[in-house]
Amino acid sequence: MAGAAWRARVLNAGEEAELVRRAAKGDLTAFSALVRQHESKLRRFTRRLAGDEGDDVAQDALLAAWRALSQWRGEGSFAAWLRTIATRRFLDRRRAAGAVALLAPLEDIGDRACDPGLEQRIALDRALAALGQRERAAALIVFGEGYTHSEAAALLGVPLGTLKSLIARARAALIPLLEGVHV
Amino acid sequence: MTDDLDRRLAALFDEPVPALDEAFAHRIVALARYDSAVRDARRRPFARVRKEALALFAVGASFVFLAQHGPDTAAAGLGDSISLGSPAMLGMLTLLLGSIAAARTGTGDRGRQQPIMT
Repeated sequence: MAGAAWRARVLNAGEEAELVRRAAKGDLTAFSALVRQHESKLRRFTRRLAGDEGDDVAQDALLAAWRALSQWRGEGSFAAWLRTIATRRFLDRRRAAGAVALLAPLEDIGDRACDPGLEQRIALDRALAALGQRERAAALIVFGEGYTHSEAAALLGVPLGTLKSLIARARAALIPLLEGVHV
Repeated sequence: MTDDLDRRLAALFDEPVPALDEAFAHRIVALARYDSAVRDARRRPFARVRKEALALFAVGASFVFLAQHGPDTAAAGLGDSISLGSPAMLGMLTLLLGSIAAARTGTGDRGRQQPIMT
């Protein structure tokens, strides 16, 4: 498939903008290249965010992105835009589901089964699942994806002060995981 | 202090990027193709209604124009009005009914949710 070649290397901003421009006009080959470029990292993000629903959230987000490609103004990175959509889709789904049920931690460990850090990751998944949805999203965006607080606030659509509160709560909940871990 | 904590927490999150899931990527592209087809199918009847409405307007405008600027029918004893039973009026009526039928066909499926492939 033509899009497979795009996965081999990371696209620069110009190439990516060109692909988005073509995909916005309905070019499915360009969209396929974008999907292949971003799906792995997006699924890692959504699986941590939404547990077992992670792939569904990623699918929703990519389809929503396909419908709204012409609205991407190219001001931030395409990856950040996808995460914004994914986070909103996740929050919408949880709201629609009643939001009271605790999120089930990811059960399908898949190709992580032989991972030496597996236990720690399971503990992390559980700790994330116990967080509130917005705290979890904020922690993933800041700690997991490396965005700054300002970027994360823009990405989540909340004021910077709110983002800092969310991060402070997430930090407090995650600190016990650091016991015995030396980085 | 907080920076150090955040750095250590970030390290906790550090996990290799999973391999490309071909099946997932194929599914997304297939869904996008399906979504485009559905949107095109929905757009087509509206385009047709628009075209027919434009045609109706053009015919109506021509009709009015000809009624006002055409040959003097009063001289032939027909007055300013056009007979309701005239072929032109029947043509207008047929066009109007056709447009109404097309509009109903075009808007009939608007509220119906299309099945989503999974």
